[in-house]
Amino acid sequence: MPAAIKPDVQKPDIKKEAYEYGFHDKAAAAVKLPKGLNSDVVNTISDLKSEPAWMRELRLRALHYFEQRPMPEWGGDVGAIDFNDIHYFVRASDERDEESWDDVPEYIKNTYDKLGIPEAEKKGLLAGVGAQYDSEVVYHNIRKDLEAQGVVFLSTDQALQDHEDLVREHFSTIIPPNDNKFAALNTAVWSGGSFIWVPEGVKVDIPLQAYFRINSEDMGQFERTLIIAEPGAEVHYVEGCTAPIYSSDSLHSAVVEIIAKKGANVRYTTIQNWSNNVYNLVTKRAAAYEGAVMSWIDGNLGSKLTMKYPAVYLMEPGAHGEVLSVAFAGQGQHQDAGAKMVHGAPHTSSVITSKSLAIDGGRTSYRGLVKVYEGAAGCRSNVRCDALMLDDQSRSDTYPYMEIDENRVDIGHEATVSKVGEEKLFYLMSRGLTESEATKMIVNGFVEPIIKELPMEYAVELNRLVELQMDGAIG
Amino acid sequence: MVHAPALDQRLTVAPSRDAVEALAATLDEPGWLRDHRLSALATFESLSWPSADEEEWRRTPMDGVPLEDWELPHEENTDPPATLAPLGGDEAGLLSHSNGSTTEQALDEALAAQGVLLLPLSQAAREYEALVRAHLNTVTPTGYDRFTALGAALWSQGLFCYLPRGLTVEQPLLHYLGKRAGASALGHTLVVAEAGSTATLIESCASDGTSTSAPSLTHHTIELALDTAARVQLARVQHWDPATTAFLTARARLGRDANLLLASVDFGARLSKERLEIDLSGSGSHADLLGLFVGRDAQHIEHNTRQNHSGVGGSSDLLIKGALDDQAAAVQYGVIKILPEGQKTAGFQTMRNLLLSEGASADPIPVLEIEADDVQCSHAAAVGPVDPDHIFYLQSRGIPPEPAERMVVQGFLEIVAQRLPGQHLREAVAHLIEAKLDTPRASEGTGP
Repeated sequence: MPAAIKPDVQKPDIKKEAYEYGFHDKAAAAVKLPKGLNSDVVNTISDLKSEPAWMRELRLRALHYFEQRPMPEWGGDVGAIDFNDIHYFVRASDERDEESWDDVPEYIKNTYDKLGIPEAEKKGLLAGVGAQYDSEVVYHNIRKDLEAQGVVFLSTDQALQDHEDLVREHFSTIIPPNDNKFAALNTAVWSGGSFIWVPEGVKVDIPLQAYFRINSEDMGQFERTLIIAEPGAEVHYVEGCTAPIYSSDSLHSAVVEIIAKKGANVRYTTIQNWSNNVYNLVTKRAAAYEGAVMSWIDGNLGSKLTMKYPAVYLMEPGAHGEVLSVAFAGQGQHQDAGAKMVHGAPHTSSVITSKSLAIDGGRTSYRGLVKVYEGAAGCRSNVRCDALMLDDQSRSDTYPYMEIDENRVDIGHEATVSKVGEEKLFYLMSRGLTESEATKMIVNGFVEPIIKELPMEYAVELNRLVELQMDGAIG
Repeated sequence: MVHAPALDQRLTVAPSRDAVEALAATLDEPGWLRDHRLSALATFESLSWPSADEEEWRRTPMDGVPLEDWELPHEENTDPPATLAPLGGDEAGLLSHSNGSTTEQALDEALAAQGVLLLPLSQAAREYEALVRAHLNTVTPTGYDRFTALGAALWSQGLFCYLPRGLTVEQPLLHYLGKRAGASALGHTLVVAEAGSTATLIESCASDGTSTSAPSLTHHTIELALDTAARVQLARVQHWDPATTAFLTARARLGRDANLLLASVDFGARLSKERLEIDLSGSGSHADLLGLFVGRDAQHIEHNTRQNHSGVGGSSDLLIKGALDDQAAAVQYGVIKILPEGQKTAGFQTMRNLLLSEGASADPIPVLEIEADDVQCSHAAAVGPVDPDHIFYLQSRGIPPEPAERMVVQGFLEIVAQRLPGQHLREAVAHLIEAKLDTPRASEGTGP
């Protein structure tokens, strides 16, 4: 038997860029609940927030579901999460939800300055900004003209105080408290997140942005976001996430619910760049009604393990759902990401595009579901997954589930897994590029379809994050 | 209390020591095989039936699957079922099983003289102990799951095929498997292909009966052990009666540069679940996996496939195509697994389902698990109705809509059918496709 064939092209020495948001602020928190989870913790969170009774009851019910449900045995390895070793609520400062950066405590402001916020806001690139630091939102602002048109952009805590009826009508209707173990956990201990309500016909022309930061060690961040777009409304929401590097692991378990009513257009962009000690277990789901367009742009670069499958439930004819997903897994990382499209009405359509890169022993998994109910005639769905393997230590999986109970449909799925093509490398090198430059160029081209959908500053950010660092490259 | 069966006696069997010993005595098996069966029985007793907790069983409707009180007959001088499609005419050898006993056995004398074996597995165990012992249940362990353990303990329709080193068998070898309605059947096919040997084996199974026949269970294990550069084609046509629940576990191990074509063609059974699994551990080995089916009424047709690549430079190509009418449902759960050592691998999967009625459904799930980087892998899955453009084109050529749709469906399935080995088989399958599509809907017959 011949010995294993050696690759005949020497691999460039490339790796993911070092994590640069790993610093943390040492300032003591104003309130930090002891580690562990029980009804006392849940009650205390509800007390601290002076919540209405219905929310407290919902939290306690969700806690019960969380305790009842087993840990998921599919996807990534969540066995090492110790729910007793997590702080479920950390209030960074008594000064909360400020509308001016000047009122935000200095140490928090410094953190955001280092992260480049609110540079974008200063430059007028954003319609509104929210910043969440550990459990609560520390800063919130929205452009005056949007506020005048009735657009609501608040922390979900604040919205519960100011717009209780609106919150109560929609909260947990898209993702019920017993949807899955981590959604139950979030519902029990949620804190922070954004609440957005866009009135009928109002178009928010530039993005609203939220920035999520975990600062404390052994911290769980459980923000809860609810977006309601009334008929004909348009909104683009962008979130970014970072955390310090600690030796122990943190947990981020968010729930995002979106309602896109008739003819509404909602886009939700995430650039997730948690440090490599964060478990990122997130439930995101949208309901799209007649003629509405819902798109999720999902960039997963950081975290130890991400399990996230943004979903669109296409509820009425003409609704369209879209997921564009890019995942990049380096050393010690598992990106188990994907999408879910549920066609519950005729003449609905969906597109899933997934691009993943695995390097340095990282693992990317695409996991998706296209479900077409009987009677949902004339549905179209196209799923396209491409994975690029950058070395022989890494792993790439594709799990595309399809459940098609209707015949008058057009459903297709395609996927490829490959390494950086030698022919392409050869071509670029024959034009004078080094192998490392050529590899970088091919990788950039590979993620291009996602990058071009991002707002400018995020495109730049993502490009930079995906950028490959070359050490001792040939030539 | 289970009684020892006599010949020509119908019996209902609970898997027990007595039942195994009686069967081994009836088939005149050597002690080692009886002991092997008894150890499989112990395994059977230690296992539970697969449950919906397991990914590959999650979509299998187990309601109505008879999991006890099987009638496992051993009847001699029975006629093969009328529905058994004749595939012969040019065969080099054949073996027929019906209702638990061997009814016909033949092999070209010249091939026999060169050492080719085509025998009932019990007889082979008696006459070629070392050879059979060295291979039996090495590709599919008895404890693979509870169905294979049951099969290993109580199979009565066994075939052993041995291909000596370097020998080519030009004409196909046939294996007929028949049973009457209501009878269950457990079978085992073991193919050992020595280095450089070449052969084609065609299995055809059928039973007479209707959807109102007594429920029955079949399980068949296929083990294919291909040594260096062996080339084997195995095609199986399944036409069990509509009261039968049919399980198949077909697994193959490929040596260096070995080449396998494994095809399953499904028409019958109320529920058909086939596991087709190829271990491409030999470098440079290649496997083609084909699936073809027509589902009608409330049939459930399921394929669970695995293309496991651990050898360097291997390749595998899966193509499953089926047409589903009435309330028929199909599931394809297929995995290409490439282990870190499986560099220079090419693995492909295609699953296509035509839905011909509103009640039909299909869940194609092509999974990739890739741990090597220097690979080419892709998969595609599709579900949809007959393309109206194709119908329009044919209509523009003067063909009325109904025959036009029929032509498109046949053309769709033809892509797989033409890759089946042997002209006789291709013709028989084309005929069966037409007959199956022509069968009136159950709702147009006696009742809903």
